Amino acid sequence: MEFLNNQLPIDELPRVENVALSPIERNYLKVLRWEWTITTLLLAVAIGFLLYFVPALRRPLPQVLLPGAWVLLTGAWFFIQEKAFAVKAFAIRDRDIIYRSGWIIQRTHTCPFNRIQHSAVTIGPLEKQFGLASLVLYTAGSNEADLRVRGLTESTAWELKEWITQKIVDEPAD
Amino acid sequence: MNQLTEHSWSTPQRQAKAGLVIILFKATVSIVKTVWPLILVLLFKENKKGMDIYEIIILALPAIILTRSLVEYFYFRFYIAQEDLIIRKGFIRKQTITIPLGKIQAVHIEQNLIHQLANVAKLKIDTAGTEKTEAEIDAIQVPKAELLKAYLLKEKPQQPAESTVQQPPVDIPAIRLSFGDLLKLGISANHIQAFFIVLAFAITWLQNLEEIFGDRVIRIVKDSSSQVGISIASISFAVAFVLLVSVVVSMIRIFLTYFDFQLAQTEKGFKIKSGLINTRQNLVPFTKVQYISWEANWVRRKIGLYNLEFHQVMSDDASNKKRRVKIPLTQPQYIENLLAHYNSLVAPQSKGAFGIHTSYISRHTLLNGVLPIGLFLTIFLLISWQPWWLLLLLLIPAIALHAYVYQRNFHFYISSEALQVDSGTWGRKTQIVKWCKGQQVTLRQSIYQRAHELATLQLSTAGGTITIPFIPLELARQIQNYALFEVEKSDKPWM
Repeated sequence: MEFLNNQLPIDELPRVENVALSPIERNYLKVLRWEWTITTLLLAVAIGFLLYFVPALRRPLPQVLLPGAWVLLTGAWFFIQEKAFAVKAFAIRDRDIIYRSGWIIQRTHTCPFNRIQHSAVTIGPLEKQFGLASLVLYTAGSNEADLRVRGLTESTAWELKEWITQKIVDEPAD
Repeated sequence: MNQLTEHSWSTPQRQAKAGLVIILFKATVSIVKTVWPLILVLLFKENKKGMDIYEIIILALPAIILTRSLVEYFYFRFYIAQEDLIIRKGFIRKQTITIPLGKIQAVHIEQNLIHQLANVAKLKIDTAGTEKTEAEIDAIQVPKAELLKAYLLKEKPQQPAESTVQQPPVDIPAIRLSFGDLLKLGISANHIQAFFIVLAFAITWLQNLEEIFGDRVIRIVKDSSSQVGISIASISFAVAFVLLVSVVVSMIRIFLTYFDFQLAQTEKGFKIKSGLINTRQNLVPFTKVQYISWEANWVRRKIGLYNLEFHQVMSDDASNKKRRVKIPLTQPQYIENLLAHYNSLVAPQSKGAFGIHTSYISRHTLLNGVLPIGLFLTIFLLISWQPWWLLLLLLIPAIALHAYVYQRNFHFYISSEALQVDSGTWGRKTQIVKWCKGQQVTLRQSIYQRAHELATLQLSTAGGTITIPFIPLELARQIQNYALFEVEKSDKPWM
């Protein structure tokens, strides 16, 4: 299915789909599970509070529906999170970075280094406990065009940032 | 002196001490913004029985604000290391922002009233599309700000001079709108939009009346409406009246916006001037245009009236909205003129038109029609059984028809230079984007798409994102690889 009418050999272009992506740190799953546990417990407390203190909810229907919704939502969240973790992977090529994420909707972002404006490393409190960090690459595109690679070891994140910053500087400024 | 200051940029430093006031103010505003419902509750609570939880929260607020500001102040550092500006901030969530000096587009020094009182300034660093990054220093002494600005911009390499096209030396008037054009624009405008503006205006106006005169107005309105009663005559009168008002309002809007519209071509870009009361003048530099689109609603398509838009680099969201200019195309040949500095139409040079997969229709109908309406109906019918809710089911065939026509009309064309996307259900929209303007390419696949070897392709530019839904995976990958190749060979600047 060739779509160009010039001599450029489409099949000889470097192909994103042939790159082997490396999965992110296994520890990040722990971060996700902790986040899940904390939020789930907070929600449980909130629901318990509501059911106990709000008289309007002291009827059989809400007594069943609210906990039911809690089980369903947090269960679905956990399931999707576990599935999505397996998808998260990244790769660095000579001229761009590839990041894949999402289970229900799987997204493969590819961001060329010569379009990166600047970069950041962020470390959340939970991530810190496990020695992890996220690498954020900002492009000039809209918000969705920023790349956030989560679940890297702190040293990898800094190394990558250093390396990419070097790449950006080496490129002739656009 | 100057060298001394240059040298001192490399040591990490805090913001100006007087800046604490600013940070305090900022923290107060942001916290009050998040908890204002609580404050309202407290203010309008009637029965007072000693302290309660709300009041404790409110009393704790100043302490929270103060702590947050102090933390923000003491954990903020900025410095220049080698060729990068580095900002480190945050206590709980640590953040390090690195901005290569060469990427800095502009440095803004701003002073609001409090800044002036504290004799400091805010320094904003603009790197094309960074509103979200908060690359700004809230408080810095004014002379220091000037020095830093000069230093940051000095490092910026010169833009390569553009000399590909022989530029006309003087301004050439390209488009002018006549009175008749304005009338045409006004009549074909989106009256539904105008209708909602009228409605919103009427509601606020009624509320104001209510506040001023109390219940009396409402009673009068109610009485008079019950006297009129619901008859076919009164309904058709109301409809005609609303329609008339909407048409008049959209006419007035068009006149206010497009009065004396002039588009001229200069050496560096298009100069646009328009407006009756607020005359707006815009310069669209050729290099800043990321992609071009033009569209028409159903009525305008029938009379051949399109609105063209240059999508420029979005450096700042708020000012960007003001800067958005739509250019009314009253004659078809204008399109070629306006495209001349970007890329001509792709369709004629393309090997053929590509379409989107027919499964788009069923998936769109399912996800945007059947599922939400089904869910909504189940919930509402469970709560209270009202058979007329079932009328909502009629929306499903309408959504399906919409998706069917959309799929039929969607075509895209590919050349070695650019991509053209034609879409629209009842109206029409065309987008043209040059490959080299891409910022990121994203391939999206839902579970269904993965099972059926389909994909949705998104090409992000600094002016917006272009989406092609439901195309064969292999084609999507080819386009992705080609777009990346064109971006990465980097022989053309994107701005």
